[in-house]
Amino acid sequence: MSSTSPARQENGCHAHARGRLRGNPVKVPLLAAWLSICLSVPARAVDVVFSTGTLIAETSTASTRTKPTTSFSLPTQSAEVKDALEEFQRLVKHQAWEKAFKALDTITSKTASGYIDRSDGVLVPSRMLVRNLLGALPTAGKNAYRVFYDSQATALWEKAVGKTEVPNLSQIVNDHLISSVGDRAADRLGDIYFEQGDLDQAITAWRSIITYCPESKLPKAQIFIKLATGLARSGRWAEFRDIERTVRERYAGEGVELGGRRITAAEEIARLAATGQSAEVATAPALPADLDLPSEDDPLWQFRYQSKVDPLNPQQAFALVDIYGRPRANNFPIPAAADDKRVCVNLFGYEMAFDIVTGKLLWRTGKLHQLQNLQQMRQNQISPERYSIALVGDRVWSVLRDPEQLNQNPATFALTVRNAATGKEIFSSRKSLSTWSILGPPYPVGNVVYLGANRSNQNRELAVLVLNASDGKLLRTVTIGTHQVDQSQVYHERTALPSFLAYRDRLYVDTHAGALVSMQSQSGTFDWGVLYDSPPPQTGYYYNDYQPPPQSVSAPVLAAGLLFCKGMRSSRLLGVQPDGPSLAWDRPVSQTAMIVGVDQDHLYMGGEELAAYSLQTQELVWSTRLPQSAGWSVPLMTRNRLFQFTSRGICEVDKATGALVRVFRGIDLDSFGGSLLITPQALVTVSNLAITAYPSNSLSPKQTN
Amino acid sequence: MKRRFAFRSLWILGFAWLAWSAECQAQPAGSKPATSDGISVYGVAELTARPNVVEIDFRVTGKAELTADALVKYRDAKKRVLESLDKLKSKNISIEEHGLTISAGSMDLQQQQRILNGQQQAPAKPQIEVSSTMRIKLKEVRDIAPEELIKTVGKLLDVAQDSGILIGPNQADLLRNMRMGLGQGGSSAPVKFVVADAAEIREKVYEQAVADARDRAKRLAKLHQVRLGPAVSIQEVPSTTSRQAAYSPYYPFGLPQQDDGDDGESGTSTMLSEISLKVKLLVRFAIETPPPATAQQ
Repeated sequence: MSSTSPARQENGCHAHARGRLRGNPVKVPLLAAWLSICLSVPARAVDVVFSTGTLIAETSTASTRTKPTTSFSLPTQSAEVKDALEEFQRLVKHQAWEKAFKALDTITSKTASGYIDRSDGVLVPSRMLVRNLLGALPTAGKNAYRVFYDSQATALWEKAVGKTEVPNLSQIVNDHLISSVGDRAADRLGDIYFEQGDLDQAITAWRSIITYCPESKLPKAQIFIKLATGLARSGRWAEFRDIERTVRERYAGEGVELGGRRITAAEEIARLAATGQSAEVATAPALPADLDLPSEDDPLWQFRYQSKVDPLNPQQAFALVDIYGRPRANNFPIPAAADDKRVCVNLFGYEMAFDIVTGKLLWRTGKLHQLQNLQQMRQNQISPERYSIALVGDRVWSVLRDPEQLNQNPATFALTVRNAATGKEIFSSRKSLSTWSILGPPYPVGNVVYLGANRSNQNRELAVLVLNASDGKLLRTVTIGTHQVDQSQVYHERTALPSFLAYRDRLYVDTHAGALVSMQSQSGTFDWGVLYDSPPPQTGYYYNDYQPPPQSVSAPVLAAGLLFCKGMRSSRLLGVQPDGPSLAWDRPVSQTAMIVGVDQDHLYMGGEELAAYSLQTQELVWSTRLPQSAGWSVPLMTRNRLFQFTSRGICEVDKATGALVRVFRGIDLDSFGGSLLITPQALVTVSNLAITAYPSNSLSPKQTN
Repeated sequence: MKRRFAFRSLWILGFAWLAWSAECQAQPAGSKPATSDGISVYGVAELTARPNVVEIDFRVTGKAELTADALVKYRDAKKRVLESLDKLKSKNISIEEHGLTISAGSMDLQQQQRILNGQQQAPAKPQIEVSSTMRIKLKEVRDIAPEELIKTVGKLLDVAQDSGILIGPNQADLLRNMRMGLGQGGSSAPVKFVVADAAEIREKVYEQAVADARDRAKRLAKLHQVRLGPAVSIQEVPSTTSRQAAYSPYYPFGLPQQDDGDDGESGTSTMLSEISLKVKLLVRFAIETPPPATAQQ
């Protein structure tokens, strides 16, 4: 860690930017270079403050990152905004502050939609850009800004009482952070959010003081301790350790006031760190307990999709053919879900529910032999991966298309919600949202459900529909962006279906086509977008030996204060710090890999092999190649184990070492493997050939190591 | 003028005779034994033996874009196999590692297109591959009943497969081999049955082949009322025929080769059966001139 003070570091960065602007008056830097300077300088400054190691990671990712090749486009700002940016850059260089701030006003007035490309694959909305531009101004510029805008900011500050307190403070922080009251407004806003329990917003507010207000008169130690408290309370220990190091090295002896008593920063950070150790242990049980796999191969019941196995083709239960009439391998996902009463499956639009203990058919929406007849027909666009099913409470949520219209193209998928006990339809988007085709599984959160979708006549579009979970009424539509390839024209590979992660008031959307987006879940306002490498899918008909790559899909996960995502066609694992945003991880991994889960120390990935990556060092800790498995087989993570249903049975792997502990063969050994569902009553495997339930009496929780 | 022409003809005839006689000397005994002096015979012997060692080859690989990742993957793949084999606690197992390679780069798209009939392929990033071959030797298996032996080999294969090791060539390699006329991987079959003491047995076979040759020669000498002299020339005849590559328009890189599974030369077979060790010798014995007759005769 450098001994230079954070203020000096930050000023150094700014001076560097200023030097470049003034020292080279003839050569006008390009807009991209300017944006890169403006937007990356504060991020770098933060990293310098936090840790040298992080700075190295930052410089090795964001600053050297070339613009990724994606197959997805996010909406970008108009040419008018770009012109205003160039104008601002030119005026700052000539220190024509008044005109420069007018140019900024133009940008601020166009903040409704669209991103500005930061030239490193990170796209930010205009409001964030404005804050970064102001933060990167030289001291003279900041002083000039205060002359012009302090009156507005002070007026907001003085009226920030009662109901208007939070909106006014937010406006100061968003629009006038470098004003004379900006730091105080951010500090107060952080306190309010902290009291309300919104720790992420509190952290963002306090962090903005350190990042954008280096000349603030507020006591640095106090701000750092507040930030550390927020990080500790929200379990972001990796970031906490960086702050802890900074406090110990620079502010150890300084006093801070907490709850009316005054103690040194070193004492308080030590106390928080001590709680961190116990908290880390306490958060471990969030994962399900380990299980003992059945000792006997005998199942409770098994349902095979074919009543009579074709001896010539025992592994192809569904007679799908390609455009040339050749049999198509049954290596596609079988959507299934289970709860403590039943197992539900969605077979190409025919939904079925089985009693979990007896295997008795509870209800169905069609007969399987009808499906077998339908599949004899030409079906080159059946897209098996677009079917899905989820059991939430007493409802079954399915995404499907009418089985009687399988030959109609382009395919239009709908969401159907049924009563899980009876199979009676509650609502369907086929009626209420007939112009939309659903993309991907539903993501119910509380009273709303999020759905990826495109309009039936716009197959490149990707939007998020927000529905009322009780009646399916459309609450909001948010357009995310545009695919470069028409998804209805992808015949051999998986179509890109979005994955969601809701965390507090944010919704993260991975398009699996090259873009990760953060948006406010209530308003649908975009925070930022990150582009990543994702080659476009191969389109067209291939007669010869085209081998589509196996592709696994996983949703983003949050761990150690970072948002991790791995696109379906991407060979990069991204770790994004949502505040900023900044790329902490941009690491090559296998293209077929998928995120399985995270714990305190490791991030686990599946796919062709199981692997654990250190959250601290980003290094591959261990890798275990299991027997071949279906591309859609998703490993299951428990407290100390990973389980995967492979073509040779269910493999149990030790999370600490990656060692294969046991293989439970079971009776479904002709299949490619598939998904694994665990309920209190039974362990259920779902393969391309059968659904098999094994008794739960041996599924007692195992003693943890 | 006529004299010069006659002189030249004599020269030509002379060279022609020299060339003919040289050719006769250069020809192998196997091709024209009848022209040699003495008695030429084949001595043939064959002994069969049950294999006493089973060799199983696994390919352990680690492949990744980052070399550090590839090394970790390779290290762990090897570790998993070794640990699994250790768990079997079999005393007769030994493991050898050989052929450690680090290769970089992947086949470029043009190459893929050429192999796959011009079919366009999805681009892939270059990868580093660390790989080696692990040879597991199961010793002292001669006295084990075949059913029991197959069961043991199956257990080893199961252990390897559960460790994620691919047994034999993968599907892509198999297709490429067939396309390139390299057969279906019979010669690279993962399980081989070996007569490890083939050298000792082969000694006996040689002795028998030599004895056989002498017996045959003696018989001929007796029938021709001549005395058999010492061996003046010995040549070993290969017991297997070399495989000839033939052209086929359907297999531009050569016809797929068939593997009979048995290689008597090295004492290995891909089949669990008795392995025959053959020796065939071509021996030329001199005919001893009878000593001149004496007064007593």
